[in-house]
Amino acid sequence: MSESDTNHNRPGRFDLLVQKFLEQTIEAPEAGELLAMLECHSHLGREVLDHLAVHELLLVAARAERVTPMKEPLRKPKFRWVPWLAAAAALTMLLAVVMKDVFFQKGQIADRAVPDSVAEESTSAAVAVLGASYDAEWDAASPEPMVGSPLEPGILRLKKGVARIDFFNGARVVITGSTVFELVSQDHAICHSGKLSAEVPPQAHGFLVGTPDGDIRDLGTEFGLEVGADGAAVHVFDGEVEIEDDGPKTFRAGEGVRLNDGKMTDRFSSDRGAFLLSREALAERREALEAKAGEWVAAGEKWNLDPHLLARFDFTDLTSPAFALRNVSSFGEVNDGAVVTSPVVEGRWPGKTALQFRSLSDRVRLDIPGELDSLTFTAWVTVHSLPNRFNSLLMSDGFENGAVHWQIVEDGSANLGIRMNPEWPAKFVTPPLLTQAMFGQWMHLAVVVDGEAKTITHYLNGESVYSQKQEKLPTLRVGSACIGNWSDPVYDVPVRNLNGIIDEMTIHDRALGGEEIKKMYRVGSPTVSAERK
Amino acid sequence: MTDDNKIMNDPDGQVAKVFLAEHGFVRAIAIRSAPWPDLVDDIVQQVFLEFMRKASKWDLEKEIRPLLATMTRMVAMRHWRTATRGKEETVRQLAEHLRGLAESEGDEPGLESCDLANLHRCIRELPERSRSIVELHYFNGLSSREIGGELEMKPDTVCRAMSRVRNALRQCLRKANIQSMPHV
Repeated sequence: MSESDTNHNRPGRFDLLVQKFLEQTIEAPEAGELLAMLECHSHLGREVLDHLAVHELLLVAARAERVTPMKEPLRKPKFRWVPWLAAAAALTMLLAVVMKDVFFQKGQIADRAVPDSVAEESTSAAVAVLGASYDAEWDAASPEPMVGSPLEPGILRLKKGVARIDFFNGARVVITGSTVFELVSQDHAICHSGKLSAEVPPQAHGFLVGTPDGDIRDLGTEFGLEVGADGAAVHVFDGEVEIEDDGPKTFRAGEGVRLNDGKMTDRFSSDRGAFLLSREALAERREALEAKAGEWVAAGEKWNLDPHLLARFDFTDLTSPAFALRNVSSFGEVNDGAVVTSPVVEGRWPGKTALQFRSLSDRVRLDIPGELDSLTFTAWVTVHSLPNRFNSLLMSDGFENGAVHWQIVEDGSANLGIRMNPEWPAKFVTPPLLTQAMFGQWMHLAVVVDGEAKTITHYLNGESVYSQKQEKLPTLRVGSACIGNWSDPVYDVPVRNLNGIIDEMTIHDRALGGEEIKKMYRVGSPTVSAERK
Repeated sequence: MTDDNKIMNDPDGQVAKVFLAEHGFVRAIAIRSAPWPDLVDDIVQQVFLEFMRKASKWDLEKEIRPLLATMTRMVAMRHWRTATRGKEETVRQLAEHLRGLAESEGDEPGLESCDLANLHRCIRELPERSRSIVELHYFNGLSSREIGGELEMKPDTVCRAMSRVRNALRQCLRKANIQSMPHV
């Protein structure tokens, strides 16, 4: 009796082969086996086609459900030449939209609610972004804004340091020292107390800064403002500002005016040297970052001496295009990584290089030989978006026993997948960590598999965010792997490329402690603040 | 006026409506001409695009199915060849075998042309565990192995369960198809 004959009699074998066929993971011997079954038993062919028909129907339904319904009626576009691809895209959308209307008629769906795109689409009320900060300390009563964070209307309470706020209309405001500053809209803010300077380009003409003592309307200029117990002092450095005092009055470069309770009470010459403008704040931040980068380099030289450090990719001095990613570990036997198409971009320090991961082919190929009981991965990452269900940080090729998959899930959670055994692909997933507000910011991510303590722990910016006991841990094998992508995918969601930038990555064959990871974050963080822990 | 302009000048969506009325038919032809996983949606979209692009050539007053069947077969063959090209010999033999079987079925719409609303109703009628498997696999994109991890089931068990679920859906859809036929 042939092997395939034997397999025909195994209950479920046919189902398994059909499923593999549908998932497109069927291998040649299995395809041969299925073919033999179909040739021997003609009714099975009809069954396969029926399975395929239902399978495709379900796929069409699933895709239709993911389509964004359009609330507005389709309108006739004005006559214009449309490139074919754009037309195809538009028509595909039309097809999807109209099909959705046809398929999901009112009252025909109960359990799976059709998502209302207007309600569920991510929205942002942001009016500005925190462009930069230097030695900034914020009032603990409100969430601390991070550089790159979108800022929604509300009050910012700066206790010390400098912060630059870039309004979406183009105006830039630098607040310094102890300042209470309220964002109202993209062209309106209120300085309740403290000190600021504003640079307003022509496109932001009319930018309004209110104070308890009167409003200042900028007519395309640079000015300084100090609000205290003795009123609001306005210093015009360039261009003109308009102030209400029994009707609008205009003040020009070099002029200064004090307001009390809506009245002009004093006039003086403006003091340019008393305020920090954004370009100066930027220069100060750059200097501070360069100093901090020096600390990071010095710390890195010590980290490199750790005999358990298999690889440390510091992403420095990459040439463009990059071909090799240098392993700077002193003792690690891991070879340099091979860069595949990832473009070189600026990293988290001024002038430092990093690699961007954007397209399907972008990746760094690695080989981490050996078997490990414990391991630690750390990385400095900027995520631009999470377009895929899984977005790779570091993934073993395929997913053999002991392989590890470190990824960010589409909902912003961090995930370490470990192939425990052939039947069990375990996932250790944090709650969602990343929000859209964190896109574009530098984050330090780490995951530790402690073979002795039998735990898996995830870290974000030096803090433990997830810890799970796992009594049965396999011997870990990273083997051939990719940074920022996945080679030799085995599942039906093979597209897992990262959309972001990676600036540093370490791989240890031991479990780093919480304090060590916190120090890596603190030393490597491009946030310039003397007080930050 | 170019074809592209005509595409954009379908203000009432008449051409699209004609196509959409025959969507199930096109889907059925697609699956019979290209019986390979994950191709149908792409084929139908491509046929739609080609149908719209040459909209001015079609006489919408006449029977449109022969035209759509021809277009669909041509598009389907292109996709099927692309999908199976480069596969190992036995896999290609399996693909050929299935295509031969599918072609012998003829063009009469069957299960493939079912209304998706009926499909959703049938899904709702499934037992909870079965419904979870359908949702995880088709709506959340998990493989049978991943579902095994999620539901603590062996992958083989998941495969058998999925097979049973598809059979149940097939029976439910057939029943719905029969019920929707006009009484004579």
